[in-house]
Amino acid sequence: MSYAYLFKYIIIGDTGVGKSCLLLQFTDKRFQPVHDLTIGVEFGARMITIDGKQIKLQIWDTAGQEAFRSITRSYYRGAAGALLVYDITRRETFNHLTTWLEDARQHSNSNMVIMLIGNKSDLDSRREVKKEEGEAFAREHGLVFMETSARTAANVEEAFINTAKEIYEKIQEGVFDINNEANGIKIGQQATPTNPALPGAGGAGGAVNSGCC
Amino acid sequence: MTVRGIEAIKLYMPTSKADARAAIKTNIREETGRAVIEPTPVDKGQAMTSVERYRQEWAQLLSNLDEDPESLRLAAFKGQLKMSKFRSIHWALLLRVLSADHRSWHIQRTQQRSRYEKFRVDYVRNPHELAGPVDDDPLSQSTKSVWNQYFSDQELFAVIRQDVVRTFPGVDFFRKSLIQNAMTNILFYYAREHPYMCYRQGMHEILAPIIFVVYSDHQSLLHYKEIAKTDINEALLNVLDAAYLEADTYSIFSRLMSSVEAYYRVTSIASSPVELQTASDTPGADAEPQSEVEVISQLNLIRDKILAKQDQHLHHYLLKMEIPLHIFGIRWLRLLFGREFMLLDLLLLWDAIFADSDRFDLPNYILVAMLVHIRDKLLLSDYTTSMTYLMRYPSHVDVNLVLRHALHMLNPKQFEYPANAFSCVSFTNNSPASEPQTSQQRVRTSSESSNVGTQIDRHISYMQARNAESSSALAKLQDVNSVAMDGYLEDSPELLRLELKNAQTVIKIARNKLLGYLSTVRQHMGKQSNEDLSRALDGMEELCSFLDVKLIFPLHVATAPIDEALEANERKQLNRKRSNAAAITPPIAQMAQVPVASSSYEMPENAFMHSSTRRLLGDRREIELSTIISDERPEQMVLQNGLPAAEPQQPQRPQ
Repeated sequence: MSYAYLFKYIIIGDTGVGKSCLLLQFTDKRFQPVHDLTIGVEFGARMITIDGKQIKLQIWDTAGQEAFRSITRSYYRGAAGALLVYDITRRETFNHLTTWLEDARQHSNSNMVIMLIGNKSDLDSRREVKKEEGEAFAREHGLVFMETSARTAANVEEAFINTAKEIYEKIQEGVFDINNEANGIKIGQQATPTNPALPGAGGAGGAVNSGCC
Repeated sequence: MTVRGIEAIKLYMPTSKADARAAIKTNIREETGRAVIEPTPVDKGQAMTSVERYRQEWAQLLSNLDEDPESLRLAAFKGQLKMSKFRSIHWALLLRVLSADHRSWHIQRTQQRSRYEKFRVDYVRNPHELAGPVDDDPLSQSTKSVWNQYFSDQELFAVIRQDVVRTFPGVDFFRKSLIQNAMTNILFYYAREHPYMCYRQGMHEILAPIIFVVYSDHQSLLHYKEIAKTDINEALLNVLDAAYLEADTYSIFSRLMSSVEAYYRVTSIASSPVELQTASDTPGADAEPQSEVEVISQLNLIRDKILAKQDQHLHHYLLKMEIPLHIFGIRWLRLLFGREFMLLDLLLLWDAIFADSDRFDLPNYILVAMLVHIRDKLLLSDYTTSMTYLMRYPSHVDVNLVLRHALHMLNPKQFEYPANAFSCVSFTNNSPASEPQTSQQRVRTSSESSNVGTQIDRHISYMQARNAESSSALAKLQDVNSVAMDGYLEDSPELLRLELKNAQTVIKIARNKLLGYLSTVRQHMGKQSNEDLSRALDGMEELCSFLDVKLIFPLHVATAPIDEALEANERKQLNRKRSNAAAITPPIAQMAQVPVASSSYEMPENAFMHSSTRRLLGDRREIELSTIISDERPEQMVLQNGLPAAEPQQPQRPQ
């Protein structure tokens, strides 16, 4: 399968808010109640379609612990989209959003699309953060907001795809410099044969080869 | 630790054997493996032998310590602690938690235990119950305030607990509250005792295998005590006293942490402008080292100093794909490969790591050996697939091979080079001659047998094209044409034939040995056979018959063109020259049809793999039953073995 664009994402937020579970639900369509702690970083990829175009999402899922924030930071720069996740059943994970956001803004490119996600919406009985609070925070900081549940898969697809849509729109508007790899966007095979050294971007040669079979 | 590691855990403990069988479906391999090698004490007659064996192992351990302490180290390198009931003691010795003078173990243990006991007094101070100084109060921000300390401890405890309950999800052993509480306490005391390290995520998975080993040894002793009843060595009772699970585990853990703490250390130049500049641009690009994280510098060192020397081709590939080692390597090192191998294999690896030295050089070489071991998969994959292999390391890798290769790189004089260190780990599900569906296969393959000669030519021409690619890629890196790295560089069919011969010899030896073991087991088993066991033995015999082959051809040759055809959208990892591409095209066209043709025959073969081979080998498919195509006696070979089946694109690691 060929793709028109490749978008890089990063998932950030406190430990245990469900970052890895969101990724697993999105890429594998399954839920693991207790997930292995992310050490360093995890990786996932999936193809989606927007506006009739195939878009490959390359997602970096990071460790939440404060001590390793410096490693997480190195992943911001190459990302076109970020999912900033908190847990609606743990107030402190919502309180830490400001720090995460500062960090993200400081180390990412200014056009990075940030989606605020209140996860674990299935646990409504244990809710500590109102939906309105999430909406207000998102409005205040210019983020897109959504409540999701990695367990029931509610809004998970939407969260990843809507982020991609925003990025796609920004590309159409010419906001993103798509030739700058540091923006986390790569163009698929129908354009720019100039730089075959980009991983995942070229593939022109391979396509020609296999086209005959 | 994978799901299969979990089975091992349960099987390790005699007490929970029954639930283990009920709870786990795929544990047959361990089950049979264990049953064959070491019957677990089920009835009285066998129980006595296990008691004797236990007693004997203990006596052996002590006499080794008296006569030749170095022999323990060698045993660990050779993987001989696999079945040991005293692994925790071996570890304590190797890590110098206990000294070789076993007569003083009693004193050493007492010291360590009372020290741990003191933590409780020192670090768990409840201000509610203390008559503290007058100037202290619950709102005090003073660092000396008992109240302040109390609240921050509560927080630390909660943070640790949050991670501990997530230790190896799905492993029942780690769901026990006894174990979880012990782990939380140990990590808490460690954090308080080492304020510069505190608690960092990942430590809990360094602790987990240790507490598991210590606990298992305690259980073995309790079990032994129950059966033997009398005449139990006092020193043994003391050194493995189950009452000191926490304290004895802590001693090993803190000692091990002091060796791996560099992997966890983060020098905090946080948020300074300097750090901004040194942070790399993309997760891929690591041109600018992040000096503030020690483990990253170390991984770069491993890449440039060890990997570059051992496998230039792979080194070059990773650079070009912009895959820095730290993406996966941080986890590999920080958990000492805990997620990459199943538990029993992991313990084997740790035996050797602890036996090596305090400097912990061996993990660096293990990391490289692991990479080299999947090099063929990586070199033939696009970015995403490569990343998947690295982030979810293939589960059927032979840990012994990786270890022996690592040991050889570490110390070539002491350790031999394992013959197939550079072998490809992939595996196809074809070729069983005695397999029930052969008749179907025969019809298909015999109709194509006339093509076999040309097919081999195509294989060889593909190999040649590939060699040319490798050479050109390398030539770009530097002028290294004379370096024969792993056989792929040389362009001669003669070398290929030699490789085939080698492989054939290995298979032959494996078959003979397996047959030998089989008859030994059969002899010893006698009439008191149990059903599982005899089924396993039948399966072994079946396997032997598969191994009766004349010539094999390296698997990746067959699958490589298929891979390429399927991965059309992805960039090829090598800058292929036009001429090379042209040379490859015919084989691709031909090969691409093969899996299509054979796909209808794959199912029964797969089914067979599940029922018999997998039962014996589990997912550890170190025995490579690859496609067999002979240029000497084509008809017969094809009749026996059929054509290549497509390799699964991305083996999923069981969660």
